Amino acid sequence: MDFRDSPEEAAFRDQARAWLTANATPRDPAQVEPGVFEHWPSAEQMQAARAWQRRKFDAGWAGVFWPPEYGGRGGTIMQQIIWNQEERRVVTPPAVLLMGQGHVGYTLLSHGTPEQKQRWLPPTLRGEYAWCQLFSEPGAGSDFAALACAATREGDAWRIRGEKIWISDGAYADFGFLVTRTDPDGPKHKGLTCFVVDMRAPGVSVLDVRHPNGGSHFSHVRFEDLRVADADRVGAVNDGWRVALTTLMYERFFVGAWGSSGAFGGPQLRHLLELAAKCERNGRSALQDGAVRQRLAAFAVRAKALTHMSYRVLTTVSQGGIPGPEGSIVKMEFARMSQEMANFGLELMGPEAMLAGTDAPWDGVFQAALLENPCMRIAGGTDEIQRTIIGERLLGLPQEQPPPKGLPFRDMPRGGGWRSPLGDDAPRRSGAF
Amino acid sequence: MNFAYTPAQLALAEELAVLLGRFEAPPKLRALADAGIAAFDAELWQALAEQQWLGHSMGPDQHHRDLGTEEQTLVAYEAGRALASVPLLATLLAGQALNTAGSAAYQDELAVGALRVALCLPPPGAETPAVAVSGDKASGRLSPVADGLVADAVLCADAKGDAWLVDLRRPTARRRQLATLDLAHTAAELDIDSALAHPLGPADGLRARAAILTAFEQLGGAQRCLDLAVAYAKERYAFGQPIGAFQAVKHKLAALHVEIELARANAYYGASALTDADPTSLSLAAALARASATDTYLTAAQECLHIHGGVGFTWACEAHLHLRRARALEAALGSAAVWREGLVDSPVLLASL
Repeated sequence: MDFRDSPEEAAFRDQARAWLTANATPRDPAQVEPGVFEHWPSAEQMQAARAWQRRKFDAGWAGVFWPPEYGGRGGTIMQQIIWNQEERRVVTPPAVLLMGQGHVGYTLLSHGTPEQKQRWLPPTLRGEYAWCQLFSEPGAGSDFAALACAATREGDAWRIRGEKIWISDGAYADFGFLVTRTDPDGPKHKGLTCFVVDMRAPGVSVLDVRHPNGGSHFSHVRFEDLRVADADRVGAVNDGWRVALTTLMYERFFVGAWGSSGAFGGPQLRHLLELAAKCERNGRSALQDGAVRQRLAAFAVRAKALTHMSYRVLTTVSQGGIPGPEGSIVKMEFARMSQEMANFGLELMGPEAMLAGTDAPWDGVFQAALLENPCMRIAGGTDEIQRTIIGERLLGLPQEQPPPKGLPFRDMPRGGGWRSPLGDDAPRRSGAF
Repeated sequence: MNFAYTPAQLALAEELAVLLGRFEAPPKLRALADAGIAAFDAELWQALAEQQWLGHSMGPDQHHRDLGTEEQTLVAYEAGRALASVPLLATLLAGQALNTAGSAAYQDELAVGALRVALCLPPPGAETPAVAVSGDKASGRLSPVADGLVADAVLCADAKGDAWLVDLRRPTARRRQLATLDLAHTAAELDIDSALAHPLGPADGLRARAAILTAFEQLGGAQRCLDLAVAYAKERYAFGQPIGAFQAVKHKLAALHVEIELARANAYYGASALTDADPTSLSLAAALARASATDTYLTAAQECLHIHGGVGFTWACEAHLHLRRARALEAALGSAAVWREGLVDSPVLLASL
């Protein structure tokens, strides 16, 4: 039982750290990450992100786990995670290119043709292409396979009509990874097809979605007769569900592994402790108040459990496996904990909780979290969807069926309930209670 | 990164699970309770001794399996899952503590099951129950002591915070059976008068070890509760389908699974701290493991009973045995709140954030 690096992992980490130390400045680990929901990256930030990516590419650190023929380092997934952990220790431009190298990149690696990989992957690693993932629709979020955005075949091209929403990075993406409905007459999961689309092509319009905090991170994308060449289709026609599942699997997987960088509520808990030390409860420091101490300690137990859970997920990766739905436990519970932590911080603050921004304690990070954290419980599968997946995939519980109305009682499925077990209910008993 | 058991360790756990399964506890526990007899499965204890589950790792020896710390956590887990009515954990703890203290005393007796040990350490921050030790003789009243009626020795502490293994076999201890919430481990009051006592060093480290091993026992119990509830939710029909198909039930079970897996993660951290040469993180790890597992077992037992509906509210359903056990294990070493109390002042915690 050891959560430290194996000798090979440690050697790789040293190498990564040495390059990062020489090429970037260390980040203050106590600092709470700025929210991603405030503003779009400026042109300068975008340029800086592309330049940083190019620098990593030239030094052989881009796409650690991608094959060398597409510009990658040819390493293991574990090495990719170690690299991600180490990169978090330094100051970097906004992570606006992550989608291409993360979910979308892995999906193309798994399902793209050699020609497609050659076209899209090396420029992505060089920082030339920013990507977005075009999955959710106004009428298809949790029930994502119910999507309706239509692709109809026209010779060696397809015509796309429909809309997508909650698109991260949509405002500045060069390319999008799109899932469409190609067979509305087939079963829900059997009529989907995936495409790569040029986000600047005629027929694509990108609108901002404003969030509770007033900022915009997500986009609403509309397709009006967008033409896509059949050569840009990824995977077989009507096999898009399987392709999209790869994307979702990688999403879950990296979220589950991410906490090993110590980010699972550590900085937030530090802030809460500092806040409690300065606030007053019952005439003394809140940090001396029994009820406050219990709440803070419960957060600590939870935060450490999530970190240790991510070690378990990482062990699967380290041993060459791909984690299953257990990876989503980390995402779901971290989201819930973050929301509770923000609420507790605001409760401790007293009247100053009504402020925001630089007028509020700690420049308003708790107020910002109040308005941002609800997103995490919805994005990447709501709490309810996660629980359904855990219940059905891990615990083997049956899917809910429509109630059998009008069925004769004799045909109604029945079973279980009381049966006299072991004859135990027969004898009278004496002493025990 | 290797935060998991090895296949060999898991095979060992499976072997123990099979043995414990043969001595199916619930019907026996109900029968003993009905008869007012103190719970102790003598046949199981004998089998555990014969199959060498009672000795800890002391190097190659025909009396011992190679039960290192990680193997002991698995033993505790299986004992919890099976509601094993034997003083297994305390006996393993005593062997380990004697070994750490450099004493060869009792090792052979421990290994062959001739020395059954009960555990009675005060919770963190508490000074009682404790004995007074003068020279190598201990005196005092310990109560309540789980398994106190069947124990040959008790692992306890004095008011100064030192731990002792007190021999109860001389006619120097009077025992009184107490009506006990937990039907798997009957409690007793022990009046000890000048009983032979072996020093085991500071009680703090031993309590941390006990808490971590107990966390695994609690987890085993919690997992059993979930397994029972899931099985019932699949076989019990209402409104034309298994109740486990309904989100209200499915999500409750999924949430319980999540709590168990998170508690397991903290328990693994406890196991890693026990095997770590550097003891710095031990008290933090014990608090995390203890707090998570204690809350989780209580929740699991209550939800298990609830998911069974009216069937859960019967003497025949296993759920109440776990509900009783969960409360007893909480009471024995202190509640989750007691273990959380010092966490916010822990420099080790602060350094890890």
